[in-house]
Amino acid sequence: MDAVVAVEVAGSGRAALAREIARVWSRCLLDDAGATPPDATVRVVVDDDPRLVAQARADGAVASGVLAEVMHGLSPVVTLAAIEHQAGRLMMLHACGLADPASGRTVALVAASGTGKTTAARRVGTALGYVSDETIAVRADGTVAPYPKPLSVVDAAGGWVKQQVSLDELGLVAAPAECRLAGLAMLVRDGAEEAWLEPVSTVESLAALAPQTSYLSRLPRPLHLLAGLVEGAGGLRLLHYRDSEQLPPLVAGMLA
Amino acid sequence: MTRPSRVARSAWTDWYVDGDDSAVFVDDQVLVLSPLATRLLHHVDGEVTVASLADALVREFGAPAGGDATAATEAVVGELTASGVLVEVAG
Repeated sequence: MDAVVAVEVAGSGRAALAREIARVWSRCLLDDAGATPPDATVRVVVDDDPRLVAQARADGAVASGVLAEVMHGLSPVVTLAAIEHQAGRLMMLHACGLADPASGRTVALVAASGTGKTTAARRVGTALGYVSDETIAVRADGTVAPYPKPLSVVDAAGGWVKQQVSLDELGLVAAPAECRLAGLAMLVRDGAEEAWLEPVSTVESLAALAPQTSYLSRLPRPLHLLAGLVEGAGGLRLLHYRDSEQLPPLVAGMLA
Repeated sequence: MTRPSRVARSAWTDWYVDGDDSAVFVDDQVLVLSPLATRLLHHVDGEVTVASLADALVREFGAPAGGDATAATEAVVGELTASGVLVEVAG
């Protein structure tokens, strides 16, 4: 997302935590980490001492005695730090993004939290480049600032800690270096037996998309910017579907 | 619903017009306006009376069949005021 977020690792479990972050967040790491001044810094702590953990939390860190809990907490904190840094600079949609690996043409699938972005990215991302499962940030020139964060997946036991899964382990295709928004749809999981796309007028699109943006009001003339983005992507469409197995051909069709 | 007699545009964030339709970004939400509300908003330039807005709409669209143009305009102005798109001004 064109933001550098430094992660400071501390506590008795810091070595294992640093290894796990490097493994799971592999596609977000900078080659020259440390040489680039960070736009934001977050602190994570794994320690056996409950008092130290409590103090770290009080100081604003993501802290726990359990490594998986820290990994669970790290993801939204990094996302929020990047979003806050780009407030007023980039148009940010709550969406997953899939890109043609050759051309970089990207489809954004907009959805509220917990309504299918990660599942869609996981299913479609084995054929198309994974741009993000959380936020699609669009620059003024229509190119997309990728955010290839790990997937946050509820484990089979249904626990409250989402497992952070490496994109490489899932075999998700890497997005090309330059991505450009070429299609825009809003996921509507309404049980449609045959998945289909419903066009939406530009004006109606603004009302539909605005709640699924971050810091929209911080942008200059935000509705005009959003309308330009919608029209540049060929218009917003509602993607009616039943399950993620129906998505790959529709998304591929939007890129055709 | 109040029936203001004089109104002005609120300090909205943005207003996007596409043909007869429009959307306005006000109080952190985006509202889609009807063609009539969109035309009415074009006529709100500074502080205006509801009576002058009714006259302007009658000139554009003609008098409503079997209706009262002033009452119809008051109804739209009332909705726009209630949703924060317009503000009532004294006088």
